[in-house]
Amino acid sequence: MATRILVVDDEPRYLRLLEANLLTEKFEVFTAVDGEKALESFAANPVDLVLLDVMLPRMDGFAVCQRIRQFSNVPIIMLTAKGEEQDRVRGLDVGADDYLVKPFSVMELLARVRAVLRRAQVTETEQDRFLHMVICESILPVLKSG
Amino acid sequence: MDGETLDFFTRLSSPIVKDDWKKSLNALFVLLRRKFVFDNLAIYLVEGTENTPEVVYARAAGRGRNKEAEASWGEEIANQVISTGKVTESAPIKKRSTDRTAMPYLLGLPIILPERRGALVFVRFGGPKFKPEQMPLATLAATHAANALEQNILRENLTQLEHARHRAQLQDDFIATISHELHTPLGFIKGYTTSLLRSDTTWDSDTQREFLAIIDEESDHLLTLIDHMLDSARLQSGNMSMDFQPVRLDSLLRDMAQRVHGRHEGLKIILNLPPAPPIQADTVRLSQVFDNLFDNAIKYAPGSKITISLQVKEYWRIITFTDLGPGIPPEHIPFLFERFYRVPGQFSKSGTGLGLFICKQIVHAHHGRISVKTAPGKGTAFKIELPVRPDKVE
Repeated sequence: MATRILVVDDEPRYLRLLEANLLTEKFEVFTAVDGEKALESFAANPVDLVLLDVMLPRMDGFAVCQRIRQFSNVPIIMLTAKGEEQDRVRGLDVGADDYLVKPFSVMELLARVRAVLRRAQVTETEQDRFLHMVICESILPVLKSG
Repeated sequence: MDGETLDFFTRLSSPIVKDDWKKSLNALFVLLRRKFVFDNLAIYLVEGTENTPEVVYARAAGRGRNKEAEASWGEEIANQVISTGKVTESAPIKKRSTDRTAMPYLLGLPIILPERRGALVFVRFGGPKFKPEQMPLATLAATHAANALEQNILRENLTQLEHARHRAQLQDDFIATISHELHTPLGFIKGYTTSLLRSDTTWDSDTQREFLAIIDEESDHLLTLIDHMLDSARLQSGNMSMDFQPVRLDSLLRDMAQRVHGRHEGLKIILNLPPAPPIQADTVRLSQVFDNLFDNAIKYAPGSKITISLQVKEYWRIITFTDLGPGIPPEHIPFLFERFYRVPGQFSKSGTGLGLFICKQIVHAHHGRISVKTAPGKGTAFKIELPVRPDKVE
């Protein structure tokens, strides 16, 4: 199954830019133009990564990130027009995995998308192994004693 | 002190609390004159290190009323009071004259204010002389006057502080807005350029053209923003010269409407432009004003038709841009033409808060006026009044 990415930005030209470039990488892309629509889309379509703009109408990117974190560990990359340290810190603190300051190079964006997805995969594999171990450890004594 | 005097003193103290210091002083001296006769009075103040006292308040009550504006009769004694800080009296040199105003009896009392010194001077033309028992009343009046003036100074300081705070806030907002505004087109240019530069993918020719068109438009947008900022800086410092030439407003507006219509398909523009003899104006700058009003209508009243009408009067032309958009909340109207001001809540609309400021400055440079009428839910009308000959307007 293709990797699915939700892109959230209120500027249609950013949506077009991100979508066009992500499609070349064979990702499946969902888009949303404000914070509320982002949450609706996220609830309806499970995705593997969220690209989230900070300055959004209705509900800003920080709030959206916080809400998503209440029920999901999906990787989130924040896109911010502000390069100020406090915004970057705040983004990471509310649960973003990475951030990118606008204006950005598409090459860098794609590299970060790949990196974050790779890390997510590693974590998933580690979780699987841990789960496997836990299951094995709980089953083994039963087998031995039996 | 008898009861009546005490009562009078109490009443004398009450006007000081009025909001308007001049009204306070008027009330004070009207009351005072019932017990203390004078023809004229003036209050002189010296600010900081300056030497010439300035008349800040004058009142003519009796004889010599027509000389109200001219308070030179008290200047000398005022200087004396200010330098010595003491109550000073002077009697006329000529004791006999047919002209009473040539025989001023003067009484000067010091007025002490923070960072200012001053004098309250009473004049009685032709006497009688000021009596010692009248001094406490005159001193009380001087103290009250000083209080009223001090209150006014404090009030002015407060207003100035509020203005400064307001300006600082606008400046801060502007820096945040402008950095966002400049970043947006740059972000597109950078993003679409690096997309085209990607070596790991190829774009079909339609997509390439689409991306290049966006880059082109966004560079234009960036240029407009920079021009606006420069214009606003020049207009603020008064460094923009106008090039007045004969301009036919009806044809200028018609041409501009056509161009705007070309850019925005489906936009309804209704023109009500009777033929009008040319006026003296700067075509380039006026076009900028009209462009801005078109942009605003398109941006803030999307989908609404725009009506432009021109009224021809003997010495003036009146142009109105009317839309049927959501209107502007009335609390923002007083600030609409201020530099950097933006109506809050227009989050997704781009803008710098400079457009209407620039419009106002250009219209003022034509010795004209710009105003707005708006009703929430009904629409907005901008009215520009331009003189036929800007050089003939005071």
